[in-house]
Amino acid sequence: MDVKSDINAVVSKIEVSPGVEVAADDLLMVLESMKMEVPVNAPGAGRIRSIAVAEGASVQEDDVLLVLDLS
Amino acid sequence: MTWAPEIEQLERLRRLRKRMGGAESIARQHAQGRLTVRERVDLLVDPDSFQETSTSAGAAKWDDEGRLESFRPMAYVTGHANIDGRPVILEGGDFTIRGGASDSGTPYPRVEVAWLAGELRVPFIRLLDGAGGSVRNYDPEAKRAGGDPTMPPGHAAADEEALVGVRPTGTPGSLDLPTRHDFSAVAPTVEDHLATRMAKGNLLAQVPVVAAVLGSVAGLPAVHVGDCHFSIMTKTAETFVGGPPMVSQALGLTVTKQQLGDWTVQAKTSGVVHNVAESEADAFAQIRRFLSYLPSNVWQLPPWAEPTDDPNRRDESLISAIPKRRTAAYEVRKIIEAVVDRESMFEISSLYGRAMVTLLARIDGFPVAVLANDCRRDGGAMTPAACIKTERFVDLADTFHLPVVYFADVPGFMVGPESEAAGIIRFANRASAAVREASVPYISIVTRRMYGVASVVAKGDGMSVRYAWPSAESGSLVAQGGVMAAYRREIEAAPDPVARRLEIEDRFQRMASVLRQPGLARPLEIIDPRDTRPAIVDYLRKSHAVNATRLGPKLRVGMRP
Repeated sequence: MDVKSDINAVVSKIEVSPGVEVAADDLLMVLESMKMEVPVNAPGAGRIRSIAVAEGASVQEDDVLLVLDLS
Repeated sequence: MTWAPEIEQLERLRRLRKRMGGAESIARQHAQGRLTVRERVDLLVDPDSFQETSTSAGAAKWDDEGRLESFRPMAYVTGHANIDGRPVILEGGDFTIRGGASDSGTPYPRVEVAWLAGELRVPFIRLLDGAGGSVRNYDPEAKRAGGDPTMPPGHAAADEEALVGVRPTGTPGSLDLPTRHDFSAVAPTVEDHLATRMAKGNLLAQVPVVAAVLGSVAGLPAVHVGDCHFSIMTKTAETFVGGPPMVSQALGLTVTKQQLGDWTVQAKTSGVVHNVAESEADAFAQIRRFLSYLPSNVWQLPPWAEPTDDPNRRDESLISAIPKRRTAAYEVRKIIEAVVDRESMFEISSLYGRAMVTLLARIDGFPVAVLANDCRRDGGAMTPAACIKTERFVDLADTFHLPVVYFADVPGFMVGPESEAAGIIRFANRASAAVREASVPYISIVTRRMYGVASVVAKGDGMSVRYAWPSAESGSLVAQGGVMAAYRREIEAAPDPVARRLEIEDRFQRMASVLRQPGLARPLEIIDPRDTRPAIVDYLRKSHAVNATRLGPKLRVGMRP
């Protein structure tokens, strides 16, 4: 599934890489918006297929951040 | 002598009215993925509770012998019904009849039922689908000729066969009596109150009013979309004051109906429409849900429901809900969920002014209006949209005597060119005024930041109480912004200006904690976050008796800034 940003922000930190297994609610990324660090958590357990953004990138609401294969 | 022939005529009109715009129009409506007005009513209200009014309304043409030549039913269906056993009045636009356009025959029953909702003190629901007036109503050529230029050929008698066996609901005598009102909570002296007289004719001051946008809604019906307490639209519907032909004529712009007023415009950008529905059935489910938190009218208390959740429940997650790092955001809905009665949240306007979350919920069975700053959006700052949303929501709560529960984490009103251009100064004032005017129980929980004038949303007067969590901090300005403004000369003169600035900021930061000084937060008590639910329940129970003596319309004096 596509994990999307629900805000306009800058990608400040990517905590996972392709192939990594994650549990539900694990921290995937940190976005920064208005000086606040907004965590992006795993919507469910699975394996990261690909990362769609790079650290420092600007993302808009609804942009895909990464693709997660739910287990 | 008997009036039987006339009754037969009447019955015939009623049967024709049930046919709506005819099989072809109905098929077109269905092909668009939209239901007919009668299907909508059936889905919305309790089974068999619909009692139609104006069952024979429409434009009829009679021949010289007094026989019916043609009949175009009114493009609106009106009537009484029950929702969850409580009476309501509703009207629904019938798009299958001339696109739901109003004509000379239609306005009066609609105005009458709206008036009746006020008189009977029951919620009023508009299921909107259709345009407003048509210039064809004013065609002078046709008027001179004595005809109706829009009247289609009459329905052939054979078409009526399909209607055999249809019970003309709503005609007096054909129905079970409606459910009786629950007036048990009415304060006896309120009836004579000045406010009751002043509220006359002002539906929004008296009963819940709901509008659903279910098709293309323009003109006067579009105005109704904004004239209500709760509006909802499907993703395939649009609403605008003037459609593409009018926009093209007036502005020379070519736009689609969707660009003018679909859900992304009206529920996200403009905020005119509160909620979006995935389907018409979802829209009706949300309307029923919305009404379940409200009394039938302002003379009653909101409907208390036997709670199934422990009033003293202490949710363990709350002790670590606020991150220790000040810049780390958190999901405020999880905090609300941990505090209110389980499964009781219903969010209003979730796509608009998102820095402020507004939702209805229950606590200890009491319906409450919950406000919460969302630090994930715009840093939690009160944007113009968040102010407008707050003003509207606090007005709703105050009008229907719902206690307000506010989870405060606000850095201030939104700064910046966009916010200023949108008029933040005015909307900040209006939101503050709505909070000040509110006379319902008002409980604020300062969870983290409470800075500047925006802290007025955490009401400090009237029937209000404030609690703070140990994570609360406050001041007239967030240190990071304020220090540079106030200490510019000192910072610039220092050997290491950056170090000096950080040093001063750090000092203010530590001072801002509610544990060091009450500051703007001025809590009655600093509480363990896990005690939040018991604390709110306690105040709701203590203030309930007083809230119950303040029923009736809210008297508002003067003007908002």
